[in-house]
Amino acid sequence: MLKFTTNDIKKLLSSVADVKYVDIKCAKDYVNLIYIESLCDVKFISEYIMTPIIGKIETCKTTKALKEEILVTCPSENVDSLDNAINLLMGGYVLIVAKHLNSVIACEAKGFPKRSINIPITETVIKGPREGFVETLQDNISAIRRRIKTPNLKIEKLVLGNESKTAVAMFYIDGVTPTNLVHYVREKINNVNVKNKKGFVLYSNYIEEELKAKWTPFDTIGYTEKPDAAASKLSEGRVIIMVDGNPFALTAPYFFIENFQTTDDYTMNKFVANFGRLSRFSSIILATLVPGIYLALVSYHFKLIPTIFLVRLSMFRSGVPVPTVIELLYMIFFFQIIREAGVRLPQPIGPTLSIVGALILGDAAVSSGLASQVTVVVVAITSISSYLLPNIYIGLFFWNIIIILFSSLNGLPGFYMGFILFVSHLAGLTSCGYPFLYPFGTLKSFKYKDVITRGSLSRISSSILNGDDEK
Amino acid sequence: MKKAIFLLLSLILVFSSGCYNYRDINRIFFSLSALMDVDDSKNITLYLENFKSYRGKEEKAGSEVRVVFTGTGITFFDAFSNIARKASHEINYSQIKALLFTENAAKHGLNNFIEPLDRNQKLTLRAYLFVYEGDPERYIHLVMKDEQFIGVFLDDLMTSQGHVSNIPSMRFYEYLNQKMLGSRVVLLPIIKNAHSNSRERLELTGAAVFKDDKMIDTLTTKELVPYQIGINHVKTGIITCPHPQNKDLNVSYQILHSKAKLSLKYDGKKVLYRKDINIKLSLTESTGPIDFTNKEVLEKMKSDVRNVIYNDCFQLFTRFKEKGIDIYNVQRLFNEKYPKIKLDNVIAITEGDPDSVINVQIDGGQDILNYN
Repeated sequence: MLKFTTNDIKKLLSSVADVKYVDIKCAKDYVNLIYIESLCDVKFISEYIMTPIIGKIETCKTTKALKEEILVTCPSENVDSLDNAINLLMGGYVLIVAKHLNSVIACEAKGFPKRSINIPITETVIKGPREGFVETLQDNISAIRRRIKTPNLKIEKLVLGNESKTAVAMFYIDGVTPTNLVHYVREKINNVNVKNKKGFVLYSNYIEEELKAKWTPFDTIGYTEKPDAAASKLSEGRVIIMVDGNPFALTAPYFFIENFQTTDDYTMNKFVANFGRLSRFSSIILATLVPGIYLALVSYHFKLIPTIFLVRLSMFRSGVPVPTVIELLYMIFFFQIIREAGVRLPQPIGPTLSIVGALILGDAAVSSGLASQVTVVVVAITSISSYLLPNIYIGLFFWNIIIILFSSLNGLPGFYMGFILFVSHLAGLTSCGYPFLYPFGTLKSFKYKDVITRGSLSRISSSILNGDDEK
Repeated sequence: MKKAIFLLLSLILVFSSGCYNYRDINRIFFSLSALMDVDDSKNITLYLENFKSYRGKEEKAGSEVRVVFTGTGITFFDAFSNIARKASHEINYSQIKALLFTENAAKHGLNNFIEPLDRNQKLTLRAYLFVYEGDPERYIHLVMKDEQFIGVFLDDLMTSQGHVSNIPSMRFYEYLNQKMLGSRVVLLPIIKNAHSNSRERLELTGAAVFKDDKMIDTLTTKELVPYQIGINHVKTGIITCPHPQNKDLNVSYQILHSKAKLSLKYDGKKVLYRKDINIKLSLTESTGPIDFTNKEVLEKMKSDVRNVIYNDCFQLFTRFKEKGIDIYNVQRLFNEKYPKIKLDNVIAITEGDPDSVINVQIDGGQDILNYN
């Protein structure tokens, strides 16, 4: 006896345009096929479900016969409740309902248009894998599985959002990833469902916001668009989280030092890679500290400026009507507007506008007397340097402003205070219970052998978190 | 956290004078040099050379303007405040490169200027000190084609002279130290206006001798060579001696290197001052041929140099000793060697040791390590 009928489903799915009901006449009664057209492969249904049923219509008398003799080529299962049936329908399954059968059968027939695998836009590499994640979770799981073939790679599937029913996959390697970390991340993911009253989980950021530190512009949860990078993080003992419909993998925990590492660091000659990495370290100093030092020197500490340069500085500023601090702030703001415009505009126009905009704005600002040449240079150096660290440039921008304000209040002592606050802020952050600045400031010997420069790949520790459960 | 941040900001605002000191770089007069003069009525006149940026007509940058302020007063700070009343912006003294004193001011006594300048924290201690020989009005109106600012010119001049001349350089902090040590005799370079290709310039002409902050004598550039050899500071110089084979001709040597070992011995009555000098020279010019194969000629050349150095050093020592001036600062050497003996005016009982050794080495060429 069936626990629900086609009519029950019809009631629930009234006014749903893409649900299809197909009735096939058989010996005793009708066999109803129900599926969502936009989620299923119609050709597959026709070829491997409908055609066999029509061809062997006389044998379609029992559930067992249907599964073993007719639906041989497609995986099928019995459905015991109406809720489960709806979930399967929404997951791309075909329901086979017939009054003379003892239960409803569901056959997987997923098929929908999806983006092909492309080169990742946000993480370009010179020498290295160019494959990127896509929006389909199954394809992304496959991309990681192809790189880590050990049975210890565990993939836990969870469903978030009572309405959206979003599939989430949590990856970790058993024996490498600390168990406490796995429990922590699992608990936080489940919390998303509890806190999300609306029932819609559409982006991976729902999980990210649950996991990361609050009240900071710095990301304490990482993300990557590249399966090879995700596999590398897994090998180091991290947990990877992927959300269906998102081409990014979240990595936890995430450390500040990772902002300076790129895939090319591990695929290119180590000397070239280390030079690039050192330039990234230099860029954070330029991006965060240069405007503050500049302001302190030109407003308070004239003694520290060589006389010849002081003469030039004074000349350049002679026509600027506003104080240096205001000049610096609005120029930084203008450059941020140009950057934002470059990001939001369509790809072919964006970069062109950014370059032209920056050139014209810089030149026009100087000509109109709104800014001095040196301020434009300082702001340009700051902005360009921050682009070397795309994951944290917004954080650097915020702290840049804070340090500028401190410098304007008290010169170099103010600058030092701002800098100490900046370092204190970073030192106070945690990522899944680990200090964000790890391995800096940790008392134990580094398990992280890849900090300032990278050594030979064979010497870099494969697992940086292994053994943390024993503490 | 919010309370902590609020408290921190409040402390900064209340206890730091920081934000009240905020000044924009284009709204400041930067002093580059100062000339101090004293007239017959003992009124102090201060000439302050400043740099100020000027908006100008150019679209992208202004231009630099040299502004000279003049202030007169009974005291030094009186003159300063007189100038402050004429300036449309604050005057900043952090970039002062040179402090000049006219002869009148130098003879009047530098202590009238040095003490207030020392107490003023805004002033840099790196400024060079000079005695200016000439009319202060010429200093104000001096225009040099290659350098607009005299302060910057003098700073560059002393930096370059450090390698090529024996003119003593004296920075403000060095003067503050040396005027307290030993005989308290200090030498400052003398500078004066000179014409070069019909354009006026400044030129170093010698050194002024100060004792107890007052100018008491001068040394010519020629006298500075034995002085610098004597105090072991010689950098370069020319020693001219008679030709070893012809008394009517001369031979010139350039000093390549000189090292003097200074020592003294006190026997309770008199101080014997000894200088052992090792000097290396290069034969640069001879007005007649020299027979280098003759060993006696070579020995005579060395002997002539030895005599010239000894006589020049001895004459300089004696000349100042007779005036009661300890030009070589024997007093300081004495105080260092005999710290427990309190003896003022050591120079009065000091005699030069006739056994002082002068080793002379004469090379035929220039310094081969300098490829410039």
